[in-house]
Amino acid sequence: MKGVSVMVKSKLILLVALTLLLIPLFVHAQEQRCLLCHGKKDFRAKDAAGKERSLYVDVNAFRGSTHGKLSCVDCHLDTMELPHGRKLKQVNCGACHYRGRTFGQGPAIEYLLYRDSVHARERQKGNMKAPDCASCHGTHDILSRTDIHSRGYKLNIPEQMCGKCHTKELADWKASVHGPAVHKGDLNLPVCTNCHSEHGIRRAADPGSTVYATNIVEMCIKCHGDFSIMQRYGKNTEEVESYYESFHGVATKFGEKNIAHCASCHGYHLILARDNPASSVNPARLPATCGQPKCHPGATANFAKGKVHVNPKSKDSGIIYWVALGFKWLTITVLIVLFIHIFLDFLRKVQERRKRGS
Amino acid sequence: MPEENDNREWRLEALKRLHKEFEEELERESGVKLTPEESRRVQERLREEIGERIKLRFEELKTELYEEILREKKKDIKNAVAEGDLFYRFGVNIRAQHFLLAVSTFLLIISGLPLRFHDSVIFKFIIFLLGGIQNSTFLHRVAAGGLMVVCVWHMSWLALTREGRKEFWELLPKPKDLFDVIQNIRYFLRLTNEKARFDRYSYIEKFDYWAVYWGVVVMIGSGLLLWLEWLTLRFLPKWVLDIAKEAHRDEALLATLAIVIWHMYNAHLNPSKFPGTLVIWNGLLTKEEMEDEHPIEYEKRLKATERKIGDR
Repeated sequence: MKGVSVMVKSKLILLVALTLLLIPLFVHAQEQRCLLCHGKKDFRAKDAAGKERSLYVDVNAFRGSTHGKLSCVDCHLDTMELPHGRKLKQVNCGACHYRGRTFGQGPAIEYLLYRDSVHARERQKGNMKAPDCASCHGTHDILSRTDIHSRGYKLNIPEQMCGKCHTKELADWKASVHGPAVHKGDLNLPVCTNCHSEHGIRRAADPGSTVYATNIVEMCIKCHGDFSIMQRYGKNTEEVESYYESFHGVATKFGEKNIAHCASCHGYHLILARDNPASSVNPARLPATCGQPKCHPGATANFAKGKVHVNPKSKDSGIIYWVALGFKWLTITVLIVLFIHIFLDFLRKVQERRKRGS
Repeated sequence: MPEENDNREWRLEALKRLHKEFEEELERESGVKLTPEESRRVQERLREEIGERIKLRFEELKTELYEEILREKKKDIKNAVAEGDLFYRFGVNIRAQHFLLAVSTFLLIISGLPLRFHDSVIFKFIIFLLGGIQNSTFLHRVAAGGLMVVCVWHMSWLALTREGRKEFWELLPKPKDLFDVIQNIRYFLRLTNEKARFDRYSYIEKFDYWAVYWGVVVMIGSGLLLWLEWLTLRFLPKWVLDIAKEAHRDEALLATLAIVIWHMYNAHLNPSKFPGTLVIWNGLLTKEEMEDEHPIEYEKRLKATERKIGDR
């Protein structure tokens, strides 16, 4: 490099540095070109159905979203020229969020789960009211689920995602003991996705569903079987244990689906506390709940006399505790006596035998 | 099946011989000689008619022989009983009762216990073998029916037959049983070399017998309350049903353990009985068993026989 003067060398370096510095500017310039139209608040167009819709994109919201570092054409892949003449295709989230992904957050199976869900199947059947990715997650303003302003933030899911369509279920849930009014920002409360799962939601009648008759108990005991969670609310996990010891629970465990599980008595979305007169497990309403035509038709007030979740090991169960205790000690005593007799008899017989042998 | 083949070969042999005799006689008496075609037809008719008769006769003879052999065996047993080498302990009725009781109890245990130990892999497998919980609960009710039949049967047997009343008297606990227990414990601890001398039923057998009363009352009582839960709950509060359920599952375990440990040891694993006796199947005890296990009854029976002979 002797022939090249210092001057030229420094100029070259300057040029390279300038170019590198300008790259983001170019990208930005490309964004600016999209925003020439899409940045205008009154940018509208009529779609195929003749309905007018806004084509405005809030660039600040987009920059703040999880995808804020991407450019428009990273998702709108079919943009070949600007301005693009025809309507662009719907964005395919699966282009990045696929199982073999090696960048970003790594492999993503949400797309596969969604593909088998009730929502995707409905869309395949042609029911376009069923949600796709954007229906729940939004478009340009997707935030991380850890962001409290995100739609996917746990406490926002019912209102901003599922409840947009499932309004009755939302209202029921809000009024229930699991609703936000009771929990007041407590993150332990169950929202839609805690029971129904997130992307692979199935119909309740589908054996693969998390809320299928034989699976639903597993959903409830995620919290109600966890003592460390329950003790914060002054409860314990006795109900779960006693359910599993009851015939209802045993039959569920052995795969019987026409048997009472948690929700059969407590309800699904509108679960209310026992002392609430409107609750299906309020003692006054228990006969009606147990007396459902499929269960115990003609149930009388006698169904409500006595604890429902009986735990024979707890003193609160009254006479049942004493019966269980009595049987326990009877069994132990009888067995000890029998064992002693057997042992002594055996010893003596073996001795006799040896004596006779010698 | 070699036996059947032998049988067929033997029949063919007999047929061949008959066929030969027939043709020889025909030739000797009327001088007619059959063509091969005619000979074949004769052979066919012989096989059809006489072959069938031979078969029938063979079956008849077989049954006759069987019966004769059985009769002789029974006569042997009778002779042995008359001579005092064998003793009748249980009649047919009591053996049939025990059989139904054992089968019902076994079915009740295998279809019921899995519900208590629902986490255990073995019991899950049993339920799987029985074809799911719906089948196993159905089987449980069928076997419960069997148990109830035994109870009614036994009660009416006790009340209505002379044998039953006599056995009931023998089975009643008496002061002697207490002394027997003490004597036996002393014997076990080698404080004495004299075993307790039992009458017809030892305290061990009496315990077995009376334990069934307690078990059956608790199990059938609570079981019926649970079975007819719609009827129960019409008249009784739910906590009564809870007690019934607790009693049912606890007594089930107690009864199972008592049967598996106590009855299994005394009737099967006991060194003097291993691997078990046939008394519950044929009702017979040998003289040695009688002398060893029921010496008082043995003496009584000997005296009774002597008296009979003396009367004669």
